[in-house]
Amino acid sequence: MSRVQGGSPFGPSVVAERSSYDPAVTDLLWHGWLPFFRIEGRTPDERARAHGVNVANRRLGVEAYAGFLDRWVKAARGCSTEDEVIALGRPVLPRFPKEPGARESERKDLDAVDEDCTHLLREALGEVGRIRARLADRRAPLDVRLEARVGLKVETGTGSCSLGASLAGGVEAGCRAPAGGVVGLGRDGTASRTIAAGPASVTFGADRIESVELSHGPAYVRSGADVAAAGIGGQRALGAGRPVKVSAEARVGVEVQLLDAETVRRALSNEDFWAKKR
Amino acid sequence: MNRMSVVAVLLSSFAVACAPDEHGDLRSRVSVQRDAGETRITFSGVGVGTGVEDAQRAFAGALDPMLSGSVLVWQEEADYGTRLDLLYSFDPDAGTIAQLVFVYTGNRVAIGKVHERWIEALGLGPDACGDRGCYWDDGEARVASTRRDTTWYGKATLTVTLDR
Repeated sequence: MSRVQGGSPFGPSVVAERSSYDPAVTDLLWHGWLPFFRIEGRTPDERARAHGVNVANRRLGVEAYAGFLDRWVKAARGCSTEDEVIALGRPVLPRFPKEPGARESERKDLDAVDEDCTHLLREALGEVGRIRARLADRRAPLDVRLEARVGLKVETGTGSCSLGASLAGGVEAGCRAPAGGVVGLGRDGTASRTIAAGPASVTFGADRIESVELSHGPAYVRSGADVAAAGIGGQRALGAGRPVKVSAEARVGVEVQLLDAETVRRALSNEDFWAKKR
Repeated sequence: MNRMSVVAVLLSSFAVACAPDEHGDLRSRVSVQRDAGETRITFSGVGVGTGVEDAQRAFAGALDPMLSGSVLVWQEEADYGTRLDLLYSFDPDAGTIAQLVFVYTGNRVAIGKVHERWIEALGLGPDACGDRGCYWDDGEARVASTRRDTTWYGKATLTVTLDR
């Protein structure tokens, strides 16, 4: 065990453990604890002063640790992928050296400060967990997201095709067959089929109904398996000639992540939505 | 938040806290061994002095690479529907666990019940416990401690620290 000998106003008798973490494991820029002043073999007054300084130094160490955790969280906020967050490294819970010869009341003073350190780490881990959830698109319940889509629609006498780009990222394309229904390719590369009847349209995925949409004038509402959305949209003709009509489409709305039964269960049992592990 | 929402939250908290606990019982996982004056506490066979890799295997299987340096359990559903994070510090010279810290989060009723289970499992008497928690000291050093914190809106945390 590494030990540090240090000078002090109480004499050169300070002995304390040095934090000796493996930097390859921890990636920490935290310099560990300040050394302890010896408390044994002193007058009661000196002992009380030495212990007070030790507790104050431990608080300084906790503050430095809090600063390190803060930098770690800020660095995570600047990442654009979950792998980048993981590549930042991770903090460890530090060891908490004790004052040699301390009495129970003196030990309690330091232990109370140490518990704050534990809570700081746990809070930082939780915050980074939420950042990772966001980067991995594990959305929070009731998360509200703006949705916007612009597209171009080409209609002929036998059917129509549209090409659109959405704020969620990606390009969607679809064509209406003469027999009815739109066969489309979504932003994640999956195929879907939409059947419309009057103001209602239903989109089917590979093995289930993806969403049901109702529109009235420029307004629309949509309900999916885990999201609900509402907004307004419209289209404007760019050119009308025979046999091709070209029009521009646009819609803007908000999409809300619904509370599913699993989320409600977790909320009631105080689990967090982002508990999913890689 | 309107009044009905507050009532709904309170009722659901009590409903969860009073529901039959199907999340396990920590008392069956905690073992306190006293040999020749030495006390050692283990949780599912893992305690201070256990090899870190053995402990990780015992709890997590495939660990989250992000958390493996400080966490043995993350977001596990525990007694009374509370959420458990189990953190550890390690002795780099021995490669073993130096301290185990259990952090339970939940509503205050559930946390109170988990705290009672820990007090029972550790065999702590009323002398060791105060309003905010318990402190077990054998005269040489701290053996274990518990601390309860409650926020004004009802979320509570229980921290159990094992030093032996």
